[in-house]
Amino acid sequence: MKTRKICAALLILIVLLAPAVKAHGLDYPGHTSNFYVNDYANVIDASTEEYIMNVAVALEQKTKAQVVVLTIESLEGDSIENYAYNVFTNWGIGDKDLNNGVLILVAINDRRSRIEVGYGLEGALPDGKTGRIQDEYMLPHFRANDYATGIKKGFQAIVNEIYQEYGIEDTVKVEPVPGQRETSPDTDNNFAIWLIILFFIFDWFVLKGRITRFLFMLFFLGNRGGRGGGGFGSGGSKGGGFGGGGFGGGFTGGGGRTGGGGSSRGW
Amino acid sequence: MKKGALVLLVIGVIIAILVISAVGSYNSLVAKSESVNTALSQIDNQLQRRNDLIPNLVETVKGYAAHEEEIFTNIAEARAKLAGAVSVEETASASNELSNALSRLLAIAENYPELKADASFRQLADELAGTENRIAVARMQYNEVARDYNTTIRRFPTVIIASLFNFEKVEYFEAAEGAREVPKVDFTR
Repeated sequence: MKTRKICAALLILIVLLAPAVKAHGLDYPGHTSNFYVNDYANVIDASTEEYIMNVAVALEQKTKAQVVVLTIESLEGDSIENYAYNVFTNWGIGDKDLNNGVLILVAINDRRSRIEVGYGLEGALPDGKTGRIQDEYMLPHFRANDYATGIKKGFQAIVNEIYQEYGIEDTVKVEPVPGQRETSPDTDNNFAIWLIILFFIFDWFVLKGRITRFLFMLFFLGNRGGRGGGGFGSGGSKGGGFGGGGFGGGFTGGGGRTGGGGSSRGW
Repeated sequence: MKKGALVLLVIGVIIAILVISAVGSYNSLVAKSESVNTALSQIDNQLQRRNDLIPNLVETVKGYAAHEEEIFTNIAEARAKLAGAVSVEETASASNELSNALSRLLAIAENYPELKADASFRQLADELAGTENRIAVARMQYNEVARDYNTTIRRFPTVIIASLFNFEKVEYFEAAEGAREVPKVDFTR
């Protein structure tokens, strides 16, 4: 009896002595289920958002690199460098081993922007280049209060640099000269949609819908099991589109880290 | 006889547990001290990177503002001080001083529109600001692991192992005073 009491006392002592779990500062926002577009300042229109989403998902599939857009109203006194670093780290942008993430942060009321680059992309996107991208593609539009266009162009420029780094030919169409009218930027996107529709028609008429059913099943199975850190279930993204805002946990970061590379601008 | 064997067994088990936990905490101390070293060398890398950027930057600025001698002298002095720094705290102080001198160098661009528009100056200024930010990040990470390590070597029972094997407290990468001051490159106007 006595030994049992002593054991219990010891156990309690051990529990008390165990180091307290450190609370983590949680002042920074979490990401949306779309992960790649987090428009908390509400400055990006739906079609641009969808475009960014499509391009970012395709990029992630081909290179594992993650380019994330975050707009906020205010930094609330924080420096944009610190803010970007913390969000980047909390969200784990980029692949865990490749650390190939990029965060485009725009603080509307502070009139400051930053491109934060993960360790793995510092070669493709040195600080000087991220500064130039902001100067050439983003700031001119920001000054005209056209945030959506500025963010889209900066995003495109970054995505192209990453494709180039990984030696992948197909790049996004960017219109480099700021202020020029856009020439139907969604052609790639439309083409892909037509391909998918054609594919389904082929499936229905020739294969009697076997693949559709298979994808459907995959989609629901994928939803049931929790998704791991990297990316997303293959069935889900193909079938549905992303407008509805996140099914099955949506997209998440891959656990990438940054060392504080990148550059900031004000306008 | 039987009772004596039991007592011996209990003592043996207790000694075994003690030895195992001592080995365990020794190993974790080694690991922690190693991550302190790694974090410190990360800072050194970034300090070196900044050091490599300075000559080009100074040359570029001199091309437009050769008579701003005071700033160039300040930078040269701060660099020399940093090169001569031995302890972590000295390095931190000297590094801060150099940061301040460099931020003044970037600030004079406000008075020279042509310098400010110079493409290579902009690029170098971005690289410098980025490197300053990397130094800040590396410093934060170093201080985090250093704090963890310092806490561990003072905590019971690790403190016994730590004093037995001479694990000493490490300094934080902090300048005596003055908060983090990252030079701001403002190409707004």
